[in-house]
Amino acid sequence: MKIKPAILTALMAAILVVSSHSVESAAQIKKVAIEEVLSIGSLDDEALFQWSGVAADADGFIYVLDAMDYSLKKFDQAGHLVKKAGRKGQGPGEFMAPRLLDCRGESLYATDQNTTGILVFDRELVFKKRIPYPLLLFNLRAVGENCLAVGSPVFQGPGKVVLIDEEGKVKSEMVFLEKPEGMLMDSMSMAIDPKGDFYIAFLFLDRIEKREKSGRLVWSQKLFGGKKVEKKTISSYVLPTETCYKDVALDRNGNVFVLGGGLSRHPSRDVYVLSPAGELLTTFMLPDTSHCLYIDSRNFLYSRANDGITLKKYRMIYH
Amino acid sequence: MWGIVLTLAVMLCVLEAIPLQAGRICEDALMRCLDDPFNQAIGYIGTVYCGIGWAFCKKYIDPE
Repeated sequence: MKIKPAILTALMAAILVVSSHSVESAAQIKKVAIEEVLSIGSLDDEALFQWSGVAADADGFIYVLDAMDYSLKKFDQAGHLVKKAGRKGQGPGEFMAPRLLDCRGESLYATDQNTTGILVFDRELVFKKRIPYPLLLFNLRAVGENCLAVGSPVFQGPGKVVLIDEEGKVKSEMVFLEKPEGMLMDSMSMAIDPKGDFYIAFLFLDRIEKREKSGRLVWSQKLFGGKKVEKKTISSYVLPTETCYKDVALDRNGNVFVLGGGLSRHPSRDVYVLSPAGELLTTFMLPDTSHCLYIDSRNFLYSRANDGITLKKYRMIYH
Repeated sequence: MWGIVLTLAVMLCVLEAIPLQAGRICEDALMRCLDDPFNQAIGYIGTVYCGIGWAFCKKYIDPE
């Protein structure tokens, strides 16, 4: 049987593409190195005072919530301030304590620790609307079209993520903690993959989980041997005083990056890298303590330095 | 001589106290929040408000 050269060439090309793709997706990270590519804000300028939330768009613009400046700021790829919006207050587009930020398409979504609802701005930082939500928020992620995932620590009842639309209407709920394990013990950070599965890192529990959007547990990981955090009674409330995991983010290959808290060897600096299947691959250390990890669509990592005066952007190099 | 020893001792005490004071940032903030008459008046909602402030403080500010 004779095979035409054109068909043979096409077949070989297809085999090459498929095999190179599988090699890339199957390759496991052994080590992560970070290389600083940008630093915004320093003790000598007034670019940032104490940033709290960060997000980056597909064009490389960086958006930052500045808690001490009650504002939302836009920086270009070189780190120059392009625009600033917001001021102290509770009016439209104003902040009392800006905290969480996410970006999807043309919209930016921001929360305030002291006020309910979600503030929506466009990429030019023009305030568009407030999405109503009855609870104060501790988590916010923009997922799929017209959908936001939000979470609030509860004091009674199960811990859950609520999916709402742009009008604040509840679409569904994902329960991740059936039984309350104490006051604020459901405090967590979350990341969501393109399939809609959730990655949850608990602030006060030694637990990192992957759950399907139905709530079904896929895997669970304990990096500190299941250690219980210390608690203290303050004004008759028993509260956790140590932290386990401060933030979680996914890279473009679906690897899970978790920022360790007080139980880490280097608190708020150690980053644990888990495979999409939950296996611990490696650990690396940030140069400075951070409360937050953010990975943009180009796989750059963002974290804090100088107690929030500086935002660092790193290229990640995998070995 | 005693002056130098006394100065060093005072410096050591001050340096020792810094982490303790820093570690109390969230606790002090929580106490102020819970003691606030408005938060006490709104009961459960006030407690939730202060509790979320505690969680944010432990995540964002508290030096571990």
